Amino acid sequence: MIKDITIGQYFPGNSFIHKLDPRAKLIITFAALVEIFICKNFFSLGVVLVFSVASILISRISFKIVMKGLKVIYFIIVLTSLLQIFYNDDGTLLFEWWKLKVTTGGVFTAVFMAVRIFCLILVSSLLTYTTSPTTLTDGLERLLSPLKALKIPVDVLAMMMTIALRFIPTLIEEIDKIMNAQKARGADLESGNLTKRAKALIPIFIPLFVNSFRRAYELAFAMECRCYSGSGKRTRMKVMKMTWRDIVSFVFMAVMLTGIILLNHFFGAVI
Amino acid sequence: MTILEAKNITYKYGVGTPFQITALDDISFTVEKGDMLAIIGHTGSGKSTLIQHFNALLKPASGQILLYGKDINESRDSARYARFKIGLCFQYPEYQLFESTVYKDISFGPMNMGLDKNEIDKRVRTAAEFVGLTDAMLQKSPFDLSGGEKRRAAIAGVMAMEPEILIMDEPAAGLDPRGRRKILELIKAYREKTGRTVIIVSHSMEDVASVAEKILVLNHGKAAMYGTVDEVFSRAEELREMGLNIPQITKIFSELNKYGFNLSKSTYTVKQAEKELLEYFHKGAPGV
Ligand SMILES: Nc1ncnc2c1ncn2[C@@H]1O[C@H](COP(=O)(O)OP(=O)(O)OP(=O)(O)O)[C@@H](O)[C@H]1O
Ligand SMILES: [Mg+2]
Repeated sequence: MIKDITIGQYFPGNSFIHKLDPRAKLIITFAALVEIFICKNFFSLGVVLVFSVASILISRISFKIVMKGLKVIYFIIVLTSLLQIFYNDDGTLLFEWWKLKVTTGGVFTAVFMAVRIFCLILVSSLLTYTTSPTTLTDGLERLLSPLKALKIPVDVLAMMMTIALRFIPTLIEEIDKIMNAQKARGADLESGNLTKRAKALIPIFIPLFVNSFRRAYELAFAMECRCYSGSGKRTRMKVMKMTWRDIVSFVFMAVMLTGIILLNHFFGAVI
Repeated sequence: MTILEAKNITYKYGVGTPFQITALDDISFTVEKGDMLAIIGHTGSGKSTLIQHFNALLKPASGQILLYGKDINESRDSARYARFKIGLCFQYPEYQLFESTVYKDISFGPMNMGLDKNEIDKRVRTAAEFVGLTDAMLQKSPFDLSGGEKRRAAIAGVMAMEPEILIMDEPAAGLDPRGRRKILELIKAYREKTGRTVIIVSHSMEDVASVAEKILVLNHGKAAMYGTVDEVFSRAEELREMGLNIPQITKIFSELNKYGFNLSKSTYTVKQAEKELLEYFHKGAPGV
C-alpha cells in the first residue's frame, strides 16, 4: 500500500541527530554523500558503512522500519550490482557462461556499488526521518538566503515547498478515503484491461483535484487574512541556533573526510 | 432474523510501526433485519473503522463479519456481494461527487451493479425524490449545489443501490440545524417506507435519540454497551465517564424528578417532552 513507503516520512524523536540544527544537518548530509562517493577501496567504504549504520542507531529509529522503507530500493540495488558483475572484465575469470563472463573484478565492483547505494540511501533518508518537513525547508531557506542578493525569491520558494510537503500526507489520506468511498459504491479498481483501469481512476482524481483546489483557495484566503505577503520581512518564532552538537558533528565529518582520503591513498583504489 | 453479525473483530492501524494502535478490540454484536441501530462513541473510538469492516473495505486482523451467516471476507466475490448488499455512506460524502451532473453521479453505483438503463433510471429518480432533489437539480453539476444538497445527492447515490443495510457515518455532521433535521427526517422516512436495516454513526445524542431504536456504544475500540435506547440512556453516569452525554432534555427531566416530579425517565426528544408535560399538567399533577 501507499502507506508502507517510509522514505521522506518524519519520525519524531529526541536523539542527538534529531536535535541537530537543520542547517547543520543539511550540510552534514551533503558532506556524508560526498564522502561516500569519494571512497575508492573497501577500507574507506567500511568506514562510511559503519558511519551510516551508526547514525541510524544513534537516531534510535527502529532498524526494521528503515529496512522496510528500503524495500522499494532493493530492486535498484540488485539491478545495478548485476550489471556491474557482467560489465567489468578485470581480474581473474571465475566462470563463463555463453557470452557472460564473471570475474573477481566484476564481483568486487558489484559488492562495492551495492554497499555504496545502500549507504547513500541510509544517510539521505535519515535526514527526512529525523527532521520535520517544515524545519527542513526552514533550514534550506536559511542556507540559500544569500541567493536573495541575486533577486531569487528564496523565502517564497521555501514557503511553497513547506506547503507542498505539508499536504503530501493529507493528499495520501484523501486518496485513501475517496478510493474507499467509490469502492463502497461498487467501483472496481482492481480488474479489467488498461483502458478500463484508467477510466476507473476518474472517480478518484476528479474529487481529489476539486478538493485540492478548494483547499488551496481556503489556505490562500486564510494566509491573506493574516496579512501574508511573500515579500515582507518576516521574523521567526523559533530562531535557529548552532549548538555544541553541531560543532562536534562538523569536526567529526572533517576527521572522517581526512581518514577516507588517507585510506584511499594508502590502500590503493579498487574502483 | 439476524442479518449481520460481527464476531470478535480486532483491527490495528500501523502494524509494525511506532504508531501502531488498536482501533478495534474484540467487538461482537448482531444486527437483526429491520433494525435501526446507532453507533456512538467519542472521537477516535473506532466508529468509522468498524463500519468500514462491514463492506470489506477493511479486513479484521482477527474475527469475522457474517452477512446472512456467511463470512464476507471469504473470497473476492463474497466481498463484492457484501458491497452491493451493504451501502456505506462515508463521513462528508459530498467530497466523493465527481460526475458532470447529479443524475450521472447518483447512477454511478447502480451502473457498477450492472443494471439495465430503465432500472437505473427508476432507481435514480426514486432515490432523488426520497432525498428531496428536484428534476432541475438532477441536471446540474454536483459542484453547483449547496453543502446540504451535495450531502443529500451523495446519500441518494448510496440509496440508489438499494442496499439491504444502509450505513451512514455522521450523516448530519457539519450541517446547520435545519439541514440536520432534514437529513434525520429523511433517514427516518427511508426506514419506515422501505423497512430496510439502517445503521447510523453519530456523536450527537439528540440525533441518536430522535432516530435510533438500538444503540452500540464504543469506547476506546471496545464495545462498551449494546442495547435499546432506554437501556443505554439509563446508564447516564457510565456514558458521562466515556465522554458522552445523554440528551439535554433527558437530563432536565431527571433533575425535575429529583425535585419530586413524577415524569417519564425515557424522554429523549423535545417533542416527547412537550407531550409528556402537557399530559402531566392535564392530569393535575400532585407535585404542582
Ligand atoms: N488511516 C488510519 N491510519 C492510522 N490510524 C488511524 C487511521 N484511521 C483511523 N485511525 C485511528 O484509529 C482510531 C479510530 O479511528 P476512527 O476514525 O475509527 O474513529 P471515529 O470513532 O470514527 O472518530 P470520529 O468520531 O472522530 O470520526 C483513532 O485513534 C484514529 O487515530
Ligand atoms: Mg469517524
